Amino acid sequence: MSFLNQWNYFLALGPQAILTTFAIGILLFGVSRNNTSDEHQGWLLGRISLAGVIAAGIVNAGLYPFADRLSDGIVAVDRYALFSNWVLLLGSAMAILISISYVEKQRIQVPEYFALLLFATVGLMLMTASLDLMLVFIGLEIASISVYALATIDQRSPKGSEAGLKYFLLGAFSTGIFLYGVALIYGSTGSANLTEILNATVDADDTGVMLITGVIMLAVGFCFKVGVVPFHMWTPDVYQGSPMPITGYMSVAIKAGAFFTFYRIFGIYLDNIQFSWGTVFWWLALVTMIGANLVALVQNNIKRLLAYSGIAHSGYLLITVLANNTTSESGLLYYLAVYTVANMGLFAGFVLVANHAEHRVEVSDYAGLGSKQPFIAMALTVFLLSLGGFPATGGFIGKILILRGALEDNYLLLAIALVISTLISYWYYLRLAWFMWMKEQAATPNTEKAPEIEIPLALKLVLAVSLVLIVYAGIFPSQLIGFIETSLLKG
Amino acid sequence: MDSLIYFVLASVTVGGALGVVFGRSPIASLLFMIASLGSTAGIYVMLEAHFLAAIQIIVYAGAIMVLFLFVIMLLNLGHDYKRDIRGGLAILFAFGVTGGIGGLLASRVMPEGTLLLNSYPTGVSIDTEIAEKGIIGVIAEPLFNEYIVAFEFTGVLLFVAIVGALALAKRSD
Amino acid sequence: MLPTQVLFLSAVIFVVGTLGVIVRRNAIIMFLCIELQLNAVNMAFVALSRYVGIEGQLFVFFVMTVAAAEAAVGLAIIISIFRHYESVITDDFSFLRW
Repeated sequence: MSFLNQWNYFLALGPQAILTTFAIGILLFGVSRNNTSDEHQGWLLGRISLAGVIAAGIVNAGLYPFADRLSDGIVAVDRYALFSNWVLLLGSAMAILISISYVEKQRIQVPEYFALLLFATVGLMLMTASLDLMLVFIGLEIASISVYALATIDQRSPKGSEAGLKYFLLGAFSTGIFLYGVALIYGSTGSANLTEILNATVDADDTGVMLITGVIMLAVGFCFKVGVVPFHMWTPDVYQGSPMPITGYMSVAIKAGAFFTFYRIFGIYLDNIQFSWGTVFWWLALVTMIGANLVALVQNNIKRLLAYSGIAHSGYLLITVLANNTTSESGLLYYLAVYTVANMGLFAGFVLVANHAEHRVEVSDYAGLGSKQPFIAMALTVFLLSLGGFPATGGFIGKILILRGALEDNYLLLAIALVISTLISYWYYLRLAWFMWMKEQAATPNTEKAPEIEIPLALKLVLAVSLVLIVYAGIFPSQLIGFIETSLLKG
Repeated sequence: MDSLIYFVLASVTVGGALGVVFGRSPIASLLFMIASLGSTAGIYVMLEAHFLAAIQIIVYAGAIMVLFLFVIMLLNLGHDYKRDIRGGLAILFAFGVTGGIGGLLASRVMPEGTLLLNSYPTGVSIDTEIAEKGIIGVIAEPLFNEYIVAFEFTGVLLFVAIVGALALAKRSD
Repeated sequence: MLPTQVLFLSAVIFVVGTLGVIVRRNAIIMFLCIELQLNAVNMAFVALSRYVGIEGQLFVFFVMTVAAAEAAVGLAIIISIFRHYESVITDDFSFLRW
């Protein structure tokens, strides 16, 4: 099937088209209702956007027979893109479920909120499916601009505005660097199309310095987006200031989308010139793993803690881009799927403890949670263990795959650094768990007593589903690995 | 003659850019920016990109910069002549970073021999194509064939920007 | 050879823009410097399109669209922060440490 008939584009971009339609529908619905005081608007529109995500998922499943037959032109419909769509849709479905009570309680403009959330997912899905650097850029910008607005959307929060401004300024700055990289690559290979870049770089050597400069600038732009150590400085602030469900979405979906694209571009289509970016990535991965985990040790705000933990995970994932063999690619896919579920579940718990607001975000606020809310505390502990890579959780299998991939390509030092930094990370993950189970809440008179937490149905769903998925992926990984092995780009 | 015109345009572009960075007030920076963008349009004309030159003036120097001007006026920032340039370590850091980038770019972009990948056939001229189809036709053809998806998603991008700007600028009740 | 000179000019503008983003504290001027970077990118695309084909001029369209979209949202964010702090100088609102 070819893209000469433009209807094929609609087929190929079916999930994106469905989500766009639903987002526009939500906006129209919000305008037509016109009573902002409606208390259940969040629940209603949340359900509609969830229906949109599910519809997009159905279309995505329906695209499997067409996969690999629709891959000319600038849009790829390979099984890799379809798999990344699953991860992104799962992440945004969970973000929607977490948001429902939050937006009602914080009186955020509901239609715009959910529409932007869906648009961000559209952008990320477009980015992972594109075979042209310009289309990657447009997808990235759709996602980024939506998230800039979402980070700032709470009008009454000065912190939110500040986080939005910081995210915006550094995001736009990184966009500039990314684009200059695209321009230099375009100039030196004659095309922005990844397939043609691959063909043009077959016998490239290190005299094509303009190409190398372009590739490095492209990598720097991506590193800003995923938060890799020298370019991570916005991450903790933006995570801390943004509304909590959006922080979750940023830490999961933006990172997953960027890494799926990162791997497609660097692991596959720029593989011929690995000599140019290999060393850079090696150092970035090392510094990121060690540095982020060390800084995370002293964090007391859970959102900042999760920000540094997310940076550390970016470091682990950089290893898979570097050592691109089939094992490390399945490691990347597995790790991102599991990380999405675990991190989103963690944020569901945070939103509950914070009572759908932005207070009670210190580690010490979690003291005594285990005795009062054993279900939440248990779920959170499992998610933390999974992030740390504890055996019998999904994160363990992901880390093992990454390690095996790194060793297959003889990145011994990085593998050792991965193990060491994982051990360091246990300290801060388990410290939070220790506060939950072992500490009693300090009964100081001036702190108000923690309110009784009741779990809304949506969050119960998120917690239960993530718990089941994490444990399932940890104990019976073979099924998921088998599915991933059919979705690889190399293979 | 051409090189003289180019020299003037390039100096205005660079001078305008420096003016943006070291301008005393936001309004001054903005006007320098418009000068820089305008002379960039002149350079586009010299590179036979006439249509882009027009777009540059109308959309970039016109619409987008007016948006900036509007916000500066709205926030009443014009009177604030306080210099807000960072000093000390930040300046050193800035010159370090920009020196690094500049050195990288200058050493690797400038020399004629290393401009293009060795395998790439240099000297593809687009002039015959432009003469054949006209400057707009030559851009429109790939835009509506090869890059139709990008074009349509640009619409989504603009829509997102409108929704986002409305959501942020609307005063909460 | 003109395109090469323009490419060099675009590198200079890009560096000046980067310098501006780092040294200025005023959010609007930082944003203007980012626009300067995007302008440098456009210049590079136009210059390179002399060598490698017409797509470079096409990309300038997309970059301009993105610049417009970013301007809309970015200025809305700046207005939103001005409502809280009565200032757009980034040092005046270090509620979150960097």
